[in-house]
Amino acid sequence: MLLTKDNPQGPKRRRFFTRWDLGLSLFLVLVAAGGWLIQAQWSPAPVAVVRLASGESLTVDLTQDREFLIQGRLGPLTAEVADGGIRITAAPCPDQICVKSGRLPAETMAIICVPNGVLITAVQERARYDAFTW
Amino acid sequence: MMHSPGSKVGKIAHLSLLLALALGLSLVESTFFPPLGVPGAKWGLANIVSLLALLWLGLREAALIVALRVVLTGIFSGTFLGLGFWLSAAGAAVALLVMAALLKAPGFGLLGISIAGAAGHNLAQLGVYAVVVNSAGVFYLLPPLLAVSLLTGSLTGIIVNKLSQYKSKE
Repeated sequence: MLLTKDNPQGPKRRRFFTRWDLGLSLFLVLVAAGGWLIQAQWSPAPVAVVRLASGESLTVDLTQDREFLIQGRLGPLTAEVADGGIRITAAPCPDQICVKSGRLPAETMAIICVPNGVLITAVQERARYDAFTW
Repeated sequence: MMHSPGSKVGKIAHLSLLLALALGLSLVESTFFPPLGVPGAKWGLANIVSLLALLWLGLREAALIVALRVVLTGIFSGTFLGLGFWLSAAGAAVALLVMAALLKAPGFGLLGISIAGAAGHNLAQLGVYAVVVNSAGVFYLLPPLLAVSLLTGSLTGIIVNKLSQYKSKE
């Protein structure tokens, strides 16, 4: 099929960038920055919570280095607690996204293994400020 | 024998060309592009074709291309009807609908439409994650995913802007 540049018979070209685009981009930046700011107000306590799709959950002390297994839907995931964080070192899932996520909370905000139905988050407590104003 | 793009044969050829391009871009992305460092975040190269199809052909044809791309990618990768398939389907469907809605709105340009599509894609996938993992905790990832949407949406928007100069000869 022959393609021609700027076919005059074609529909009017859409503009590339408008004020609305700027507004949308700024809105997304504000939402993202706001989310980060809110999360930054919550200082991670030295524990993580492992949640399974079945509804079960497990609280893990991040100050005690150890290795343990989490039973996911596809099989066991190997979790390692070290240096005040937790990471998945082995998992029976195809994409290994949970393994590649790195250490929580230093390198990622959450570790998710969707095929195994496992979510790990750092327990967070509001600690730094009583209130803030601007 | 020549067929114009306006004819039925031409339309089928046009759809097939865009579908092949979408499949190729999906394959290239999954094989050669580095992960973006945020769970669930994708470059979304196939979104280029979705937006071009919306611009050139309309919502119905774009939806057909997206549906066939998701199904064929699922079959080729062995994830058909598995979790990856539903994640991909939800993301692609929401991205397409968001972009189609913003194309109807006169104020938005290609950059904004593309960014909104990328954000819609990521939000839909987070929604599926939340259902599958049975926890709203996945929304911790919303800020980095929105930041990634700005990056990837801008990239695809720039490419679509370049490609949209080219239209089928009537």
